[in-house]
Amino acid sequence: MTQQISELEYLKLTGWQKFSYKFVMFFKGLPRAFLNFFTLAIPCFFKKIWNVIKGWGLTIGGAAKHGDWKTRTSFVVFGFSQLARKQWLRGILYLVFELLFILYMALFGGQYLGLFGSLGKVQRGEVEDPVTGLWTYTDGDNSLLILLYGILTIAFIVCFVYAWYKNIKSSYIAQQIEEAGQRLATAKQDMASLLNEQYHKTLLGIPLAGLTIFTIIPIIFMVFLAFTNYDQEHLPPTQLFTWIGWDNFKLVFGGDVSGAASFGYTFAQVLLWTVLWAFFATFSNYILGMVVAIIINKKGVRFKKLWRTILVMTIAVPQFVSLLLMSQMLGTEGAFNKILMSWGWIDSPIPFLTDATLAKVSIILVNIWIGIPYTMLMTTGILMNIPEDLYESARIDGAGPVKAFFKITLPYMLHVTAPYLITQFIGNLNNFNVIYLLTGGAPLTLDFAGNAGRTDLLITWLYKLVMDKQLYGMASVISILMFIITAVVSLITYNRSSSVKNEEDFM
Amino acid sequence: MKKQIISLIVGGVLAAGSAMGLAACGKKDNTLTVWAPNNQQTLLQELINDFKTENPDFGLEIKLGVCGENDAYAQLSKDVEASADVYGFANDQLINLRKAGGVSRIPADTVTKLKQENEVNAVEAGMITEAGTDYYYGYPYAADNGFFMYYDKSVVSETQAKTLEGVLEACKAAGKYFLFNMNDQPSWYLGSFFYGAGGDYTVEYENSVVVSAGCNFGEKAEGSEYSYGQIAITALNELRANKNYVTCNDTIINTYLTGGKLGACVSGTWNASLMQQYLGENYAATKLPTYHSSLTDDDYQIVPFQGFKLMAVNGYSKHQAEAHQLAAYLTSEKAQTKRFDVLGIGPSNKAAAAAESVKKNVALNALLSQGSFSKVQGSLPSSYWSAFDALGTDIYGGEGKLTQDSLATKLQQLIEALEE
Repeated sequence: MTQQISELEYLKLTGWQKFSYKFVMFFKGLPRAFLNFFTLAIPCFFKKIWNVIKGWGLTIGGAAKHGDWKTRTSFVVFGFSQLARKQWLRGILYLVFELLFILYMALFGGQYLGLFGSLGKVQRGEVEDPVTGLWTYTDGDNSLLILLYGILTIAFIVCFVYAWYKNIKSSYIAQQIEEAGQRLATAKQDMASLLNEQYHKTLLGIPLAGLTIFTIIPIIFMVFLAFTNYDQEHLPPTQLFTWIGWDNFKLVFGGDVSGAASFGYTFAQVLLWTVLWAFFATFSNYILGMVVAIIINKKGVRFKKLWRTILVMTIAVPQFVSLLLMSQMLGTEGAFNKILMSWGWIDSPIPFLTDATLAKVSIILVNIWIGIPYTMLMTTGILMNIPEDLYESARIDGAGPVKAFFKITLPYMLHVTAPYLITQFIGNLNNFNVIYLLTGGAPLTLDFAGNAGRTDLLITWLYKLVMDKQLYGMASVISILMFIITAVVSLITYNRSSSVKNEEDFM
Repeated sequence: MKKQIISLIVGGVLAAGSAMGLAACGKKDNTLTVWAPNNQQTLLQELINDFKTENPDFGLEIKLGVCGENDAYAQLSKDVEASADVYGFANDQLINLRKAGGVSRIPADTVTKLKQENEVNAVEAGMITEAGTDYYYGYPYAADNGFFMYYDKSVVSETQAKTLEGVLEACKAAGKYFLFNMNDQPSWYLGSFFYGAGGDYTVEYENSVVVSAGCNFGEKAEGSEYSYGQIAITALNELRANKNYVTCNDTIINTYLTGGKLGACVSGTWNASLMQQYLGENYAATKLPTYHSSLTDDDYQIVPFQGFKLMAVNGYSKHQAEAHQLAAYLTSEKAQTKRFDVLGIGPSNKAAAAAESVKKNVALNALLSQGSFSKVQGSLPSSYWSAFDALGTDIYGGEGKLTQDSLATKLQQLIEALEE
């Protein structure tokens, strides 16, 4: 059953065998998919970038070789060629950009770029006033600001290089147009083109700028933090922090993985629970939610709207309120234990949230309780969408309700909701709310490093590393690893899901 | 046309220049911010008003913000420059605050005055030795940051209150419970069993950075084949197994107290008025009991931490002189007396502590009676807290069924976690 088989052989298999064959092949294919991702997709991406840069080089080379004096002066003075060719708007914009850049580097960016290699040298000073005995303080370098402005400056330099290239390209094209005896576009025409053939630039300009400033640069900043020793002992503005290379990564990967209380061991254990949790949380909600929806949808069930309303009512209560309430009720002195004890069913409180294994079970159960209404709502719509004639013909052919479920309902649902399942899975990998509000990662244990508890997910551990332990560098490493895991898992599973492969099915 | 270009360029440069100028311009204000815990807000506002009337030419406005003494470092480390100028904190955070630049040195003559007026331990709790010189950073204002035992006189007799076994027995007889935190961030309390057995934990700093930290819990107790740690950890495990023992936090204490199920409980002065209210005539407090070790067949006195609350001036305050003046006022004898009168906070000032009303206070008396054997709580690294917090949940999660082997593993892990 683990070998690739021909289509004919496949058709000979029984239903269950077909399913398990597909199941096995999916997981057998995963390593190859991972391999492809790293050996094909990623190199391909870099190759594309390289091609773009090569294209730039060719343009610049051509301009240097065949350009007239106006074009060549543009190599140094931005917009000179455009101004000389009376393209006033373009010329001025390029020139102003260059002047701004020079001004910025001279007044501001240069000093930060100079300190970028060391992230600051001058420590904050302390001087006693000989007369009053009061201590006064002199400001030192702020490593955090140096890192931040250093990155911004580098980003600005990249923009500058790009503008330089565009400036040369634009003047070279202008020169070619002139040589061909055609007329150049005026400022008015340039502006008008932004609403016509260049309209995509107008539309995408603002979102792109927003994305760069609010998402990409913070991510780059965060990645850089992983290579510093920014922690409680090196807290700016009073203390300096500096580059430490791959040391943080070595603590996670190089450490003793089998032993106790090392970051490597903790990371492995927390990751294991994170994946387990995501799996159970996603599929328990999905399947049970679907079952509830099917039950309510069934012909002959009365008060359909009432049942749906009752279930949806739980959504009306904010999730964090339900979670906090649950955490109270499940506590050692909580309502559940109190009731069970007063009934005489138990002698001592059940450690719902304080015993490692029981806490994990409780979390998944509470999550089911919170999550089912959402899945039910979503699947109700899709279930109603399945053509009734499919079921009818199945019935005529003698299929029972169970067979109809596995042959019609489930494949249809899986096909339609695969992307939803993947988002759910990824969302659950990073499900901060449920864990943090229910157990806060408890029970803590001496087996783990970095204040991690038995029910901590990577994301809640990350929160602890930042808020309690102030290990910013280490936290950054963990978040990079989380990003890699979630990105790779979602890309690969999504690309292999049937909704992407057989997009036209069930249309 | 050329003129237009030039004016455009000049305009652009000017705009850019002014934008940078704005960015470089810092705020310059004339307010002092004071942070104090929620329950001291009214009191401090009164003290600040008094201060203003006594110093009419004090040029700054004073603003009051909320920050618990235990959260001072957590709040301050987020943005030390934007934090309060003057704030109160529990003395164990001193080293971290110093590292973050959040405390300013106190001028030498003020220190001399503080030493004359306050308990020596309290002043020294605000001291850090740097390069061989002692520097002082904290104005002490409370000497009650410790824990002891409250009990219900109708349940536990005075003799029974002397030993843990007596307390548990009394609770069993009356169907009540003994409350001791083992599960909800219990690190502050848990060390007491280890110090009681004779163990010790030491931490050394150099320029506010931990150079070495560790404990002797692994060493064999004198004249015994068991280590200090073994004695303590076994006792904790046995306590956990006891049916009349309950772990607690302030909420649980409240529940048990109002539900009339509390026999005795280990807590601090902040619960005094609550205890008095519900236990009424049976309200009593005493030193922590001794515990009996089943390993060595000996009794050990549980040794609590003795901590202080200090007020500090932020090193980043722009008005150092005024901030120090205000901090000194807010921790003066007058202020401490007022703190005790209104909130029952135990003063560190000798004159304020000598008052008749302080001596009559049951809770403070219990706390002070531990002075001879309690351990002064210095600045502890964060590894201390996380290690003991984790030990607590590990033992609690074991439900008292942990074997000697697994206890030995836990002990070894604790020792390793404490070492730096």
